[in-house]
Amino acid sequence: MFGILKGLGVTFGQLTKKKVTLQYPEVKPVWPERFRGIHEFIPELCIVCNQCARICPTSCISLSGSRDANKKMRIDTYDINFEICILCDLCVEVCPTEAIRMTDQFELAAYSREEFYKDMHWLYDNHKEHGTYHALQEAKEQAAKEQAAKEQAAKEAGAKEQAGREPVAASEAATGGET
Amino acid sequence: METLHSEEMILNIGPQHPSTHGVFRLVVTIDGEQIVAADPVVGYLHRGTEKLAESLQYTQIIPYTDRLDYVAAMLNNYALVHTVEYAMDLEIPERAEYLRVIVMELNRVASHLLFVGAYLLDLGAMSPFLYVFQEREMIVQLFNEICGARLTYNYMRVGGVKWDAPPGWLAKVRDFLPHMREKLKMYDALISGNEIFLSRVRGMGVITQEEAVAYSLSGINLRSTGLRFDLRKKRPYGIYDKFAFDVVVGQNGDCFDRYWCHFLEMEQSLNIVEQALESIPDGPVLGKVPKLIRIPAGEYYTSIEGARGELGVYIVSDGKDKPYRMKLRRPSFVNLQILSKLLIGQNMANMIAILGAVDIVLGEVDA
Amino acid sequence: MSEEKKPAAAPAAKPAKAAAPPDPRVVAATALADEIRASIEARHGAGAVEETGAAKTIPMIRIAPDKWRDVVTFLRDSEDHRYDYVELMAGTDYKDYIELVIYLYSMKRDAYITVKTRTPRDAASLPSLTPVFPGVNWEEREVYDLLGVHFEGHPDLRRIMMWDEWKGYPLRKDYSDFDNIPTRGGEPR
Repeated sequence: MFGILKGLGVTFGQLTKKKVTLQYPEVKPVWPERFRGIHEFIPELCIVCNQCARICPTSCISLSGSRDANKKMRIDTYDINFEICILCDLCVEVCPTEAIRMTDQFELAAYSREEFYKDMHWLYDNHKEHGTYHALQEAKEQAAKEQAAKEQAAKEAGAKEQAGREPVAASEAATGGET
Repeated sequence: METLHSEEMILNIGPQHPSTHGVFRLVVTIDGEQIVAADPVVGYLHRGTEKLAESLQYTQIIPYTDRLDYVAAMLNNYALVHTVEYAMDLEIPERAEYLRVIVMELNRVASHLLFVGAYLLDLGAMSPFLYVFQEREMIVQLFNEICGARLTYNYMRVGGVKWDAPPGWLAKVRDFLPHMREKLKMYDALISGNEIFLSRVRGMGVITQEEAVAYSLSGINLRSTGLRFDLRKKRPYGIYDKFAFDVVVGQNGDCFDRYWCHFLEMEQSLNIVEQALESIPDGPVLGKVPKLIRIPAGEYYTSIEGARGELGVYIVSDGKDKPYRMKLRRPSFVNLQILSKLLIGQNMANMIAILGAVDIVLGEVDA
Repeated sequence: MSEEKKPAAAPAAKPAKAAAPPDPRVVAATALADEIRASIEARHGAGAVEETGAAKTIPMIRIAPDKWRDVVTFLRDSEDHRYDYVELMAGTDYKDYIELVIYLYSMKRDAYITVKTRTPRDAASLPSLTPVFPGVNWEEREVYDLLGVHFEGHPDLRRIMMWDEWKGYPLRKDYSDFDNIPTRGGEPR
């Protein structure tokens, strides 16, 4: 009898504890950085090396590409069949240009099987919506601004050499405009 | 008193039954309340992993091993890469070995926690199942942070691990250990003294040492009979010879001993994690491995102490980048055979108690 | 140690390179295998052991199929050996024959060996080990199911993974998926 009472003591002790349940559809979980969700695909980075399709254990990736006017390989189609994709991350691991990555999107329920064939456009939309699109854009803008600031500074410096003036005000203005 | 015999009846349990832990069917012949014969029927989850592996490179097989014993996938990952490394005589960076041990032992804790919860659920106690999921969730979240998945980790690679621990991860594990120890004490108070539980499991489903060896049982099913057989001690693989821990053994080989060994083994696993955290070195986590992994021709078998027993991988290679034949020694599959022997003569109500204590995962039984 | 001659497609039992010095572990394992061979032959005649060697670092003995159960029983019961625990049973299809391998462990002596035997692919049949080791019951059923080896004296030889109507043996190398096309009303689906 004592054992049961001891157990009941533990049970009553739980009453005051904080709740641990997550109200899922209303409250979304926060995933860590490495979370392996549904892929995103960035067509301009892809060099059509086919490594992702080759490493895929379930052969769920199919892609095709062609050479453009500059003799560079461009991706034409890129499809992932999420009926058989096991989200193992091997395609991301082998991609040399990080054209394919994984997002923290994990909701993939659908009413028909056809909807699980995701093409390049869907994956790019996923990239915009759930993926690294904004981070990439920001990084790009940042790089462009830095480049512009550098050029500006170089120009100012050039002007300074000519006119003998300080470039401080110009560079301050360039950094201040970033935010 | 003389036993009254009635007409025998065949009762079909499963394949879709909540207490069979998956799709497992058990055809029992009963005489009144007594079980006369039991015939386990498996294979509902057979995916042909061994056949699939023959057309896959070694790196590509790793995600498939996640799906075998899906509550202890880290150990499955390791079983495969360990055999490949043994075959190739690869040197593994030390940090990778330590990370492997940490995640494997944490996974063992998570798996044993699930056993404790699910076993009590089988016996009709609802709340322990919900309690253990709180701590299991913490471990699963730690895995989510280190490898990006909660269940199918795909973390080990031939020659090391996929990722180093993210910043602050090791500190989180260190904080988790005292919490887990505290909780183990709580579970002990909640369950282990409960008279109803004890009267249901004490002396139930007794396995003798001779039977256990003859039936090739491994893991806790073997150790609960008192045999000190743990591959981490018997045949130390990886860096397990660096850690001090006890091999937990039972005395009677009954269902209670099996439950209790799970409990004590969690503490030992936490001790190993603690020691590993103390001495984990810095350095690379992936050794020098050829881009295309080829095993020299020959046959190789290594086994590790999985969460359910001896988890082995047998590879026959013909020198190509894919195995010629891969056989998985799945502990659940081998351990389950003794069930039809244990059930004979038992009451119907004890059936689930005995099945639950054998601790099977159907993904592993069916491979 | 007798070096075997296998067809080029089949993997060799041991990576013995002529140029590299032999691995001491392999040499030791082979020596141990030869010792066990002598002990078996003293009991079961000269033809009982067909080959010895090493599977990486574990001693390997190949036994004539008709002596399979006797020799394994001897290895289990004899005081010098006491190999009483089966770790693994696996069958492999080598295109010309099917090889069955078991890894035995001795609880008393803390030693491992590999014991093998071979059977032709058509009419593949071997004596069952289930009377000796009840723990290989399901393993033999699995080998029967997936590789089509018939085990004489097995108490309950049925398919275990596939269902009874399944045609062919999936782990054989010449197995074709087209043998089991799902049909609906007599037509392939």
